[in-house]
Amino acid sequence: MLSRLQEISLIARCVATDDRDAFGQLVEAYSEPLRRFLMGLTKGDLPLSDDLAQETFIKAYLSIRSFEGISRFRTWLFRIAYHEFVTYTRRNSPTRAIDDLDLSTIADDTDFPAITDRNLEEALAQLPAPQRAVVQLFYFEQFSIARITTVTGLPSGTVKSYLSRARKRLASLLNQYRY
Amino acid sequence: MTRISQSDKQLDRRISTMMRNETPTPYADEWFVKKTVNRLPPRRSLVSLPELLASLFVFVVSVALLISETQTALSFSDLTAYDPSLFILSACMTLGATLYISIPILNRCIRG
Repeated sequence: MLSRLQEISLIARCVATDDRDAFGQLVEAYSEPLRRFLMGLTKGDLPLSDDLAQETFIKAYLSIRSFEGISRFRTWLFRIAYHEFVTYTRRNSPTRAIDDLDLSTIADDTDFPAITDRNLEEALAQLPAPQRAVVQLFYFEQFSIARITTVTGLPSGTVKSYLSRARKRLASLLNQYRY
Repeated sequence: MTRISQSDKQLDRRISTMMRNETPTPYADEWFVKKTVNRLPPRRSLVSLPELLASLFVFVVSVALLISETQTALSFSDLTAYDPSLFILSACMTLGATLYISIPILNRCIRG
């Protein structure tokens, strides 16, 4: 994990001199969490998540001058990755994507199905993409609600609502896995 | 404002541990960084080499002309007798050559 200072120094090298080695160091530092996040979103499709991760890094490289440094680079990168995933899903299943990726509405219980499978992986795969992203970012990447809001573009109330529902449902699996 | 209770925080920690341990993570791919860096588009030069050389040539010539014209102007005891057209031309050429190089650089720095 890079410190804030190291991060800024590498970004400055990329901006000032198009330094690929510096960008390579950023890729090395953030590829693991990014691939993990995308693997969760793609329900375990590793080749797809690696493709999306590469696209994310290329987009970040091309628009690194627009990175304002208000948020952490990691948050900015995850935001690009999430939008890359949303774009991919919309392009590949347009009818399903409308229901699945409606970012503006607060889900009710029917949008957040009860966990019917006793397997955690399957349980997470049941969730629609935005909910899966919220759960993944909060529990896996330890992102705050504000950072999740920045990444997904969801209102903070919606994020809290998703987390509250996820907490109740995932708690039912804790005993199963002896945690 | 919704406050997360202590028990919820504890529950979150347990869920977090469960998720980290029980869901598959991508295997380490030592080639990922290399593949990604190789896919980056080629470096874009700010100004092409012939453009840069031509601008530098114009810049040097116009600065030399500007200096010589300044010396000529200073040698005139009565400045009203001096024709400033060459001086103005060389000043404009210097400014033009400078802007020709600096505008694309500034533009790219600002717009990214």
